[in-house]
Amino acid sequence: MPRRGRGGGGMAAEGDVELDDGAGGRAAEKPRKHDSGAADLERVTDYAEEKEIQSSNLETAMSVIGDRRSREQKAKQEREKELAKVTIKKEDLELIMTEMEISRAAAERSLREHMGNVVEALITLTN
Amino acid sequence: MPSVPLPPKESNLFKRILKCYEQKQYKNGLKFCKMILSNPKFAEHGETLAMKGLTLNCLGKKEEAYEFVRKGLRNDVKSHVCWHVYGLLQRSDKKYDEAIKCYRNALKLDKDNLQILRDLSLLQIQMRDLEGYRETRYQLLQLRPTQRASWIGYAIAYHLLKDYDMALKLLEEFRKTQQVPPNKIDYEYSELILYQNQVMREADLFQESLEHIETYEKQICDKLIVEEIKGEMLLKLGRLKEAGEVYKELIERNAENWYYYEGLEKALQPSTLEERLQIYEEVSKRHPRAVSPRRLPLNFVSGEKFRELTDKFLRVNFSKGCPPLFTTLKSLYYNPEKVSTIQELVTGYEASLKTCNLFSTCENGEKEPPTTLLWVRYFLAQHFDKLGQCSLALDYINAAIASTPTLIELFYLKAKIYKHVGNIKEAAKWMDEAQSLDTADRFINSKCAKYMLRANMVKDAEEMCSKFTREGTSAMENLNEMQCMWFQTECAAAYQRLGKYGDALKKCHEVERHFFEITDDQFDFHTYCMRKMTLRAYVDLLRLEDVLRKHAFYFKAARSAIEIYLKLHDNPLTNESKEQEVNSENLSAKELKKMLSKQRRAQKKAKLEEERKHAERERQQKNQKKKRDEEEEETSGPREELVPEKLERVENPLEEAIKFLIPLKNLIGDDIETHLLAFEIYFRKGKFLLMLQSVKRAFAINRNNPWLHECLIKFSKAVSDHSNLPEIVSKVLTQEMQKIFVNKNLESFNEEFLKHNATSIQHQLSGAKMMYFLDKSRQEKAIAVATRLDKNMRDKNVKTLTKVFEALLDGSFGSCHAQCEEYQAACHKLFPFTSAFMPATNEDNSSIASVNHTAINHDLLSNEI
Repeated sequence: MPRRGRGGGGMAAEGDVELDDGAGGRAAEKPRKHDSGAADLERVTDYAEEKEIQSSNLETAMSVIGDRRSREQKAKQEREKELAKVTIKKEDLELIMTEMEISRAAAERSLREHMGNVVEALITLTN
Repeated sequence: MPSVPLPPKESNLFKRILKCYEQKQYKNGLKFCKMILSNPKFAEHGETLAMKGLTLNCLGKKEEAYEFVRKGLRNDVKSHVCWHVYGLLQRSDKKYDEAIKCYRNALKLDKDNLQILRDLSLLQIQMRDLEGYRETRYQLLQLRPTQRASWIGYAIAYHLLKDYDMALKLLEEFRKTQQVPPNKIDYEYSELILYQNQVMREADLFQESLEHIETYEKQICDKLIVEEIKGEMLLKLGRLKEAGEVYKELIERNAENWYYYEGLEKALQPSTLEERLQIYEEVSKRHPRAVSPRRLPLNFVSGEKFRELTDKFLRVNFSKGCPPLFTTLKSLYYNPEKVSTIQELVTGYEASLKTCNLFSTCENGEKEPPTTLLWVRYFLAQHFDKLGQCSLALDYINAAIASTPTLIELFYLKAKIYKHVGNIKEAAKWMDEAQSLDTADRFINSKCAKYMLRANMVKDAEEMCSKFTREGTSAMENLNEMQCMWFQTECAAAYQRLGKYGDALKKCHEVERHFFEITDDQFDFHTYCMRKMTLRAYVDLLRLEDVLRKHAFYFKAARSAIEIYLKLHDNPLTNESKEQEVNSENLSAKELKKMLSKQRRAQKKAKLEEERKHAERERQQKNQKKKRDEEEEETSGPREELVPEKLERVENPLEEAIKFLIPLKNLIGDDIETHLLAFEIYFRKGKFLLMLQSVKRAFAINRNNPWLHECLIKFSKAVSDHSNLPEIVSKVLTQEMQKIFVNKNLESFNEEFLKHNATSIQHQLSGAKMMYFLDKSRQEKAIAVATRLDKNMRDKNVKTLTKVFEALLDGSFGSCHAQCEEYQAACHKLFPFTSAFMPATNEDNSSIASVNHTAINHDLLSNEI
């Protein structure tokens, strides 16, 4: 973030992160008119203790999540398999990439989704 | 696993190095590094070298940092620490893609390293790789199911992926673990509840949301949002009576919030106009000083009732002396009936107040103070300005000024009127007068600077702003540092009109950099917001950043940049161009030499001045640095300085233009200008399918747009001129263009367009330009069409006529001096105040010259491709 002229950067200068000498540090800043929060900002670290939860019922929750995930993975893999079956031509792929200025991945996906028909793919891409 | 395990003494030192890095005690960290590395056995220890590099990076020594980190990595390629450090280094340089690769490598070596997973997740959300983010969050959750952030992070991932079911399940599980006693109010818990409720509402689970908010009402800090949610949900569930009660309460709280009135109307469902008015009457009785219940009915009443209510509203506000009165009523001006009612009423007041200080001559009562007449005249000036009757507007404002010459608003309005009329120099003059009445008011100061920029007075504008910018730096620099984008976009446009393309491009790039920085700034909030549980604000931030470049400032900067790059492509600057910029046609050789040497001396002087200021600044900065005890952290990667001369001589202007275009295509695809600008770029690149894409998209938005019409004709001609296109491309083009042109030849396509838009000057201009483009021999006819000024033309205003005039001047119709002058005279009769149409004097020659640079280069490019 740019060093603002007005009072200090937002997040840290409020003193809510664990700073040992927050109060003392602030008093010394008075002479510097525009940089009042800057020194505090310097002392902030990203290192803070994460809060912990006390709970014993995590297992049921975790298993629900696990089930869901495996279903998601499966659906994704099937779609990818379907697309991979489509045959596409190298020249078509390169034509799409040059004419439409898109990445190889995007061009390939478009071509596969149109079952290899380059004219159809281009018509959709120009929509 | 690291290749050389450290013995206990050194391994302790290494742990301390890590701690020092985390606590930002870089000098100590380097000391410990030295202690390890000075021992010959460990002089090549990969991880220590890497940490040294990382610490050096935080001290701003980037090159050394990379050296050490790479060396460390080479020595110990199987160390996840080295890869992690390399990733951190890349991240600090904002090379986020590279950083992600490094983290993945690190994870391959140490699958369950929490710190690396956390860092990776941050980068993924920053780059909006939502699927990846979800995966990483899942891993974090598995490793640390007891940590709060794991659950929250995972839930947010699902929320952003719009999988509301999962998100809600997770949030509920998490909420259950928060043991907050029911009578205590805990801010973090309150925010969690509200976030959970927001997800429910987004999932359209209105019943659940209502029950949820009612259950946890007592524990929520933000009482207002609770009521608003209740009201909204009750409406959605059709429980109108209860909803009505809620909205009535909300209006009691705040009678000026228009959404509450909307909600109340939806709840009470008034069937007649009287019932509807009754709602507002009741509120007004309880809150006699509230403005909204008096203003809102004016939107839906008409005829006699409108007259009655407007009369009341106006009188109260004129007596009180309410400056923004016109602004409050402006939204009614789409309705010609209401406009004439207002005009009747207010002109009536003016006549009456002049004679007897009463609103109406046939009344008795307390006389109005003289200020009432002042505000009435002020209103009338704005009224007639809006209707385009500039001389009447000026009459009223001058009368007002005559009675009260010290009121800033009056001069501000006078300047505005001149701006609308097209005399921007005069406008700047009056705005200057306005700001001189109160030099401590930053608003009027900024307005004055803006008007100066519009009048191409860049130096004056900078000086005006410097009255408020920080001492010790130049105003331009400080405004850039403060991300003052209104100034930068206006300045870019001013430089563009002056033909100073390098300076304009510099401003455009500066604006683009601000947007980059704003996007980058969100990085720290990913951890911070989750820790502080301010989840609603966090999700709002993410959504804002997703569409950041939709903002008008970006659009303005991008448009200026693209227009300039197109010009630079058509007419590239060479090193000799600098000499040619001088208007050397009218000077003799001796005078030319004199002028050039004068210029050189002036440049030298300016340069010395610049250097002096620069040295002064450096000295100041050095002093400031000495005062600081702590080491500074280098905030961002080295940003290349923007040099105007380099920017305007860039190798590939079209590629640079495309860089600005891409966010417009992604985010502002509903504005036809995006696609038309895109067309101009792709036209010059010869990319036919991209041209097709641009016109298709523009056509879908507004097929009758004049600029689009010109693009379509140029496109069609280019396609038929190019017989050697690849077969597939031709096929696509033929098939798709059929839908637009429907088998017509270009001449008849153009004729139809002209016929269809016979009363619009803008369209006639485009059609005429194309008539000349397709057949140069029809020049006379084309000019005649473009310069039509007959009675039934709908858009005879300053803007359109200026456009036609500019087209005549810039060669779109070939050379046509006589017709130019004729047209100028005719326009002058219609708009005597507009500077562009005033008969040629020395001063106005410059304005004509600058006019040449405004229009986008629609020059005939039949020979280009």
